[in-house]
Formats: sequence, structure tokens, C-alpha cells
Amino acid sequence: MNFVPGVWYVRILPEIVLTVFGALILLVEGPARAGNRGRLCGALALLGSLAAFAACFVQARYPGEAFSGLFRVDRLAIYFHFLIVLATLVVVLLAMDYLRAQHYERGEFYALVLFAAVGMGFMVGSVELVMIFIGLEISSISSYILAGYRRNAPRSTEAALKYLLLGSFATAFFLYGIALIYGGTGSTMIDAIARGVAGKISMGGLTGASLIPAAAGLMFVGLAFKVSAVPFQVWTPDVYEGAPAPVTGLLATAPKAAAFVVFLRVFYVALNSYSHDWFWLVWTASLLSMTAGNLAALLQNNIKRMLAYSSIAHAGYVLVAFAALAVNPTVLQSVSGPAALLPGHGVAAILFYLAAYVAMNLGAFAVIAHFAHRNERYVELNDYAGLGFRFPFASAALALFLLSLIGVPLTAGFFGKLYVFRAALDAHLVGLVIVALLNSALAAFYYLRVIVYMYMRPSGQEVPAPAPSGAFRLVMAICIIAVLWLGIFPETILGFAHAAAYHLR
Amino acid sequence: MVVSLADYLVLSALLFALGVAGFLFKKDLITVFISIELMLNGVNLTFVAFSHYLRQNAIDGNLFVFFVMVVAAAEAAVGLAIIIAVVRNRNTLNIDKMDLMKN
Repeated sequence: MNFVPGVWYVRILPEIVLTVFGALILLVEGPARAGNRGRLCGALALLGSLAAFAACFVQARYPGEAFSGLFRVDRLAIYFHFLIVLATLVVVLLAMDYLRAQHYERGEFYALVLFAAVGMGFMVGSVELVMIFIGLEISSISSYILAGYRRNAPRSTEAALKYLLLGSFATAFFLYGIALIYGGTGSTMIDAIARGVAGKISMGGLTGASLIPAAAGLMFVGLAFKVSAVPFQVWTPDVYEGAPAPVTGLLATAPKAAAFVVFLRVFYVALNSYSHDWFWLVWTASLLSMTAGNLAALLQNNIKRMLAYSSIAHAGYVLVAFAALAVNPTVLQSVSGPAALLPGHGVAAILFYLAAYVAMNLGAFAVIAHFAHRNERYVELNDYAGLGFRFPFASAALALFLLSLIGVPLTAGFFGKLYVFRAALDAHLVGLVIVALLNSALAAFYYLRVIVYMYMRPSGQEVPAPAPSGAFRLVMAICIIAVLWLGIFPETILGFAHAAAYHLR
Repeated sequence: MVVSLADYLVLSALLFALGVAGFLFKKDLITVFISIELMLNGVNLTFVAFSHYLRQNAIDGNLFVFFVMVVAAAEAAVGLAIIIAVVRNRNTLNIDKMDLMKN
């Protein structure tokens, strides 16, 4: 009975590779000479994320369950493993330049980025609630430290403190939700909850089913914190502003995508029969996030803070698709043939949107990290005046990512929004779609403002940006290709997203 | 007097609510941090109670408590380190003074 098949370990290969390299970095850092310590650890981290990328291909060839059904390599898990590992690779490349510019070249930074990715990998692959909780905590605890990495900068430590307090507050709610689900259904396995949620178990005067709505509410609070949906977004602007720019790029993208996967597994798969109860939660949070995020972003002068509010708004757009799922969970075209490419299904829309969102947001934060300079001196909108002609390459790239965030055709953001709105229209959520469209128009204003500053304002001061290094060029290449690829050939990714959606339930 | 499942659930809900109240209304960083531990322990009690009453000799609920305790310990280690870094920068534990970033 104690037989543990080796293929189980192959199914978590990316996590194993990332853990090994993270530990290796910590081991190597001590004896390494101070002069080349940063470069050595950076090279190891780069090698580790490339190896993890290769491991994703191996993992993808062995779909199935691992560790007695705790972990499952399905198409959803494969899709997000690729996304998370690529995001990790980009952040590692970014950090190499950034840490050198900030004189903070230490190995732990890279190790923590890799460990955070391990946690996210477990979040997207686990099909058991306590495992999901542990994955969530692995990624969160690593990110708390990363947010405060510039530990002599008061803003950075304050960001870490706020993230720590509000993050653990939120996970306590999520955990309470898990406990009530366990009591209500007698299980913490996603599939078993989906089957047994009708409430067969009763004890004392209490029926199991009566606990589920409360559990759904508590878990919603926990996850809404993680994806920074209104009214649980208060931490987002401060943490994004105070954290080092590459860390902000990481926090804004991969953990959010992973939290949305947990959202899918918990609400769409496990609690599907309770969709009447959580529909209004999602609908309200979506409406408030889009509107409040965009309105507040209009008033910002710090670019990192502006993108923080914009990420709140984008969480709202994704929740539009979740609301569509609650109304209309069964709209599924046949998976074979061109019909599969019709964007009728909310899950596929969510998956596509998250890929687009990760690509364009990481790209934008990469450019911000590039211009930030020592102690992040140049992160205000005024600093970007006139940059367009002095640094044509980086500025043009930033302009592309901002246009994609608006949702201009031929960029990833356009199809992301299109599929989400289409899914919502199929579910007859006309009101919500109208609000989302109005919001997109509103959002165009503050994204375009940055572009206007870069190209149409005389430069007030000489922002001393470094010459683009090889690592920065590679980051830009990855993000630009991703944004354009998703914007011009969306059906390649969408086909896979559809297949993932089809096999999810 | 027999202690029923409902008693345990009410007690753990109370512990959790006290933690939430402490988190929201206390001004001292350490107290706020301990309030979170109180919330987690409220949840632990729920797990154990359900584990006992759902099935005789069920161990899964008891097992989850160990995972939660490990996670809470890791969180406390990182949390105290971050609090120390903040105090070194600011020389205060008052949470209302943490307002460097405002709109």
C-alpha cells in the first residue's frame, strides 16, 4: 500500500525543479565571493526557470492525478504552469538588471521568486482545498518578503507590512471557508464536494448544506483579496507602489492568475450547484472593481500606483466572465472543428484574458523597472515627459503594452476583452457589459495620458536610463511577441483554452 | 452537560470574530498580528470539532490542523522579521503612522 509511483513525481516536475534550484541558490550564495555573487545567483535562477520551462513540457506529456488525487495535471494546470513559469523567467531576467542598478544584489531574491512560483504551481494543480491553501501560502509568504526587499526604504517595508497583514487576514477567511466546506460535505476534495454538496450529511440539528453558502461567502472574501477585487482592494495601491518594480510586476500577474484558477476550481467546479448564491457576489464585485479601479486610476500621478488601480479594474473584467459562468455554466460548443473557436464559453474567455493580462502587464512593469533608476527615483508621470524620443525602443514598447491594456485591435487586450464581453452577452448580462464598455472607454484616457507625456511633452529633466541590456531586450522580445501573437493569432491559444474548459468539469 | 458540535462551532466563530475585531480596531502592530493567529486558531477548533463529529476516528480534520499550524509558524517568522524592519525604519509600532503612501 505504501507504493508511490514514480510518475507522480513527474507530474510535479516543474515544482521540483524550481525548489531544487531555489535551494541551490541559497547554498551557493554563502560561499560565493561578494564580487560575482549576484551574477552567479542570477545565472542559476535563469537556468532554473529555463529548466522548469522544459519540465512543463515533460509534465504536459503525463496528464493524470498524483498523490492519491491531491494534485491533477489537466489541461487547465498545464496551461497555467506554462504561464507561471514564463512569468517567473521574465521576472528573473528583469531582476538581474534591476538589482544591479539598486545595489541590492543578493541571492535570496531569486530563490524567493522561484519559491513563489512553486506555490503558484501547487495552486493551479491541486484539486484538494488544504493543498490549495498550502500552495497559496507558499506563494504569499515568499511575496511578503519580496515586497519588502528594499529593506532600508521605508515605503518598501511599509508595503511588505501591509501586504503581510492584509494577506494573512484574507487567507484566514479562506481557511475558515475550507473548514465549513469540510464540515458541510465531509470532504475537501474538489470533485467530492461537487458531488456531495447536495447536503447528505447531517449532524445534530445542523444540516451540511446550510453551511455551504457561508463557506462560499468566506472563501469569496479570501480570494477577492488575492485578486484585489473591490471592496477588498485597499492593500493593492500601497503594495504596488512600495514594492520593487520587478516584484510589482510579479505580484500583479502570476499570483493573480493562479488565484483566478483557484476561483474556477472552487466556485465553478466544486460549488457549481450553488451558483445562485455566489452570482450576486461576483456580479457586485465585478461592477465595483471596474468602476472604482478606473475612476481612481484617473487621479494618479505615480505610474506604479496607476497600474495598481488599473489591475483592480482588470480583475473586474475577469469577474464579468465569472458572472457569465454563474448564469450560463453549460454553454459549450463541440471541441472539434471551427465551432470550438467560437468564444461562447466563459472559462475559455477567462483563460485567454489571463494570458493576455499577464503578458501586457509584465511588459509594462518591465519598462517601468528599466526607467526607475537607483532608489526608484523616476516613477512619476512627469518623469516620463519627452522620453519617447530619447529612448525610442523602450518607450515604443511601453506604448504597445498600454495600447493593449486599453484593448486596441491587433493587441492581446482586444481579444481578451472581446471574448469576456461575448461570454457575458451569451449569458444575457447586458447591463454588466454596458458598464464594462463604458469603463474601457474611461480607462483609455489614463493609459493614453502616459503616451501623450512620452511623445508630446518636452522633457523637464534628464532621466538617466541605462542602455538596454541583453536581459532587458529578451524580456521585451518575450512580452512583445506574446502581446502581438495573442492579438493577431488568438485562435491558437483559444483552442487550447477551450479544450481546457471542456475537460474541467 | 454534553458538549455538542454547535457549542464548538459557536466558540470557534467567536474566536474568529474576536480576531477580526482585534485586527480592525487595534492600533498596535504586534496586537494586530496576534489577532490573525487568533483567527487561525478559531478555524483550527472548527476543523477538530468537525473531524470528531463527522465520522468516528476520522483523522483528516485533525491532520489539517497540523498543516495550518506549520503555515502559521512560517507566517509568524516572516511577519516578525518584517515588523522589525519597519520598526528600524520608523521607530514606531503604531499602525496609524504607516501612511507614507496616500493618494
